Amino acid sequence: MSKKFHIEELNKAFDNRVRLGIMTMLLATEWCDFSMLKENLGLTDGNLASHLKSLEEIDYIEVRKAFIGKKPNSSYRATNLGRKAFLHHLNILQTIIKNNKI
Amino acid sequence: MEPVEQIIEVQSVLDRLTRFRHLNGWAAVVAGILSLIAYAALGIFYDTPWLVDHADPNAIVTSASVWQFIVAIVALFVIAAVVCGSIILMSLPKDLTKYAWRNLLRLIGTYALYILTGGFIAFNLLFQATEPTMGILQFIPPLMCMMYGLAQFHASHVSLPSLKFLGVWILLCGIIGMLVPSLGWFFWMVGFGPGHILMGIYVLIRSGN
Repeated sequence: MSKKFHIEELNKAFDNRVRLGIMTMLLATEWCDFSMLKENLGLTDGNLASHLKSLEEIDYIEVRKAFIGKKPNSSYRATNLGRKAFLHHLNILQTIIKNNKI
Repeated sequence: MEPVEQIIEVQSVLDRLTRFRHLNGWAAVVAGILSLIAYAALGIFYDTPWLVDHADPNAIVTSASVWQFIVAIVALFVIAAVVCGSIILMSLPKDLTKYAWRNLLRLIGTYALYILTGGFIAFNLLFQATEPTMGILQFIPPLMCMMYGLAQFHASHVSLPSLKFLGVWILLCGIIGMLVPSLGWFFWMVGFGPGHILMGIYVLIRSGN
């Protein structure tokens, strides 16, 4: 019998459309740069940067800063901790939906 | 966010990441116009009755007319692919990501699979028949429609979802052409011409052009 989860057990860090989108993209890709995240998620620089910062602070993502020519370029990737947390979050979501036949 | 909303959002992001969305509506409009020109030109320059609906299905096709037919069709595909491909490539953003390039290759592979398979069947029909009749040639346009329609339908999974409407439209034209082979070329024109033009206009409107 599958374990029962409750909505309260969902990770609050992902209870936001932008952070869900960021983590989905970082799980589907390896390193992903700022402009690609911005283009695919349809966000402004400020909005994306603030959510990236909050995920970085809880060690769910890591950043790599480099220069392409003279332009600074920031790339992001999910850490092992972030990867596990997000997959667990998706697992809970699926279980809740399945158990409640939503 | 509710659990269902979260799952939908995840699916939506994955969907955006795995589709090639930079198709240019003008490429489809040009493809449609080229199809109409080709239909008109084949009827005017080659006085070949198998291009129109008053064909004699039992007449023997000469090898010269078969080669004319093959050259005309291959030339049309090459011209359309080069012109439309150039329009799409020129309109791509400068900083296209490697994932977008990968998705573009998947899209090209999808088209290639069906077009090459259709081409293989068509050539077999033409060359394997010991005594090709005009009846065989009449099945080539509907076959092209069916294979290309399937290609567009499949392409809707790796590119713009609305391509499935174009796919179904051309596929239906192909099915009608198979059932009424004497009208095969006419329905080829209906499928490829207006189908592409309407699709192109739809894409242009959706993309704000």
